[in-house]
Amino acid sequence: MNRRRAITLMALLGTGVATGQTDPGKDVIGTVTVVVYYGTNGDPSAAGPRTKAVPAEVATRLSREQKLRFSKYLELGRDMMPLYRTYENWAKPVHPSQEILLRFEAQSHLSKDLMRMDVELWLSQKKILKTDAAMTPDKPLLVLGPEWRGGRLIISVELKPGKPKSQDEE
Amino acid sequence: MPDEEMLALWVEDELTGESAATVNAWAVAQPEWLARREQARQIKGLLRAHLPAAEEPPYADFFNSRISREIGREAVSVEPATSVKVTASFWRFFLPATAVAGMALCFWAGTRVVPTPSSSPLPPVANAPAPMPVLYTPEQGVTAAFFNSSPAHAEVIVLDGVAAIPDSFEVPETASVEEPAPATAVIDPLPR
Amino acid sequence: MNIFQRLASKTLLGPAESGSAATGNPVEGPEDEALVLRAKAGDMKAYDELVTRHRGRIYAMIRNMVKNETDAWDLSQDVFIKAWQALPRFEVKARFTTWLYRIAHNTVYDFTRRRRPEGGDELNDELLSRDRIDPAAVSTPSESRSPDDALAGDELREKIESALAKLSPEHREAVVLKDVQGLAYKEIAEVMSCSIGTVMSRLFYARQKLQSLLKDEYDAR
Repeated sequence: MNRRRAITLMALLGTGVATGQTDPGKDVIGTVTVVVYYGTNGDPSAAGPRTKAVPAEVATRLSREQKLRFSKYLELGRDMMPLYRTYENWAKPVHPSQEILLRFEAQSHLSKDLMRMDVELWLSQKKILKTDAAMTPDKPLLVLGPEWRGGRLIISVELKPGKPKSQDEE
Repeated sequence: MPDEEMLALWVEDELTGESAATVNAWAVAQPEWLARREQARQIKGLLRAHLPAAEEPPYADFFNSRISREIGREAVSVEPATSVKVTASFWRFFLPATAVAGMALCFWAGTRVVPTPSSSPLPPVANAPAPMPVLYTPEQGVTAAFFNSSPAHAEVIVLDGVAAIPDSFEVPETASVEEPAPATAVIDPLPR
Repeated sequence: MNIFQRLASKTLLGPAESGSAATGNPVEGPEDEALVLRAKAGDMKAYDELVTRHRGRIYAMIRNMVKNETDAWDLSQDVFIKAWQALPRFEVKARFTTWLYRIAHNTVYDFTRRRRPEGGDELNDELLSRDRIDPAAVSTPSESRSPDDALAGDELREKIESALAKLSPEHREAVVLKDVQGLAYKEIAEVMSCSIGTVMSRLFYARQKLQSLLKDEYDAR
């Protein structure tokens, strides 16, 4: 029995090693979190009942920047996706709607903490913005986007090291 | 039978003169090859009539300038760092003693102001500001402006001229949270 | 007259619609060679001129290879960036255009390979194929066509592009390089790193398939 278990374990390990070596491009080198916020100086109930409260620290952060300052913030949706070494990936923060999509792809490490990423923002199924942002952990890219129901959408893109936690990989 | 290359050229109507005549004579009894040539003529005619061989890319000036920018950026990233060299001692061999003394004094004073490589190493790359990103907005009328926001500790891109998301768009159920009646964070718009 | 002759006879569009390169192939000659020599010596202005001379052909080729126009735009730029990097290794006596096409081939190949990982979520391809850059558009590109324009150039072009998209990349590239770009067999073999015989058979298969695809679409009216 012990021998059988050992052989099974070795076979599994071997498979894992072989799989890992087949395409290094699929290595997950980080996690990208995309959040869509709604900022308004009017009545926040215009966003409808399916929105989420925004933590105070996030609201404070957003409001510190004059261009992103609103009296009220809500979260419309979020998505957390792995960043592959050489493959692109898509975030769908208002899934299953494709109204707001974000494509991203790693480009190069500028330094240990600084990574250049290709980021594309798609709205209403049109490519609206493409940029090669230099991302560091804990320093999001905030895009002040389109108007919606009397307010404006702010799309936050944040890169963190490590893999997404307990997310079904797409 | 003509060789592969000659047949290929004949199918494409690129054979001339005696070679063309030879293959034509051979092809009289080759209905499959005649059909192949006819098919090539038809498809070629159709594609050439409707697909351009050359088409200026949109935003042609921006197309070129973005290439130049990327090339310039690559060049900067591979340039070796230049170092400041102390050369004062070199000149001592060429100047009169008094001038040398004066120079030495001035140089000593100068070292109090100008950092030398040993005392002031180049800042680590991680602390250097990231290069300005390229912004591309394919939709007409849309512009983007980038800046680093120290107050928000974030990079910010402001889009202008983007079409509004239709009011009919509803936040999907899956984007919602279980807690009922979410409270909003109310922020005083005026900083104290 | 069969359907292909009918379709080809409705030349509502000329060979190309826009831009100074619209009339087709820039003649590669002494001008290119002189520019290449200067560019190899680091003259960015000369290289910029080369980009201007060749961008139309490279963009058209890539646009016929990938579904998405903005991807074609990006990839075309990648080609010229890579060409600059590889310029020190380019032998001036070789044909610059063919060399560029070879880089375009490699760029498109890398792009389609890394499009998404296996088993990845498949986004609706309609989303990507509908994206268009239209510099003439006031707001968003119009997708509706009047019935009177049923066989108008744009719609037919879309049908041809849709049929091309159904071919494998190798077959698509062979027919684009031959029947659109007008490259010689030897050039195509060099660009695609295969034999002339392989180019022949890929072309034959591609044309067969296109004939069948376009016939069906036409007969469905």
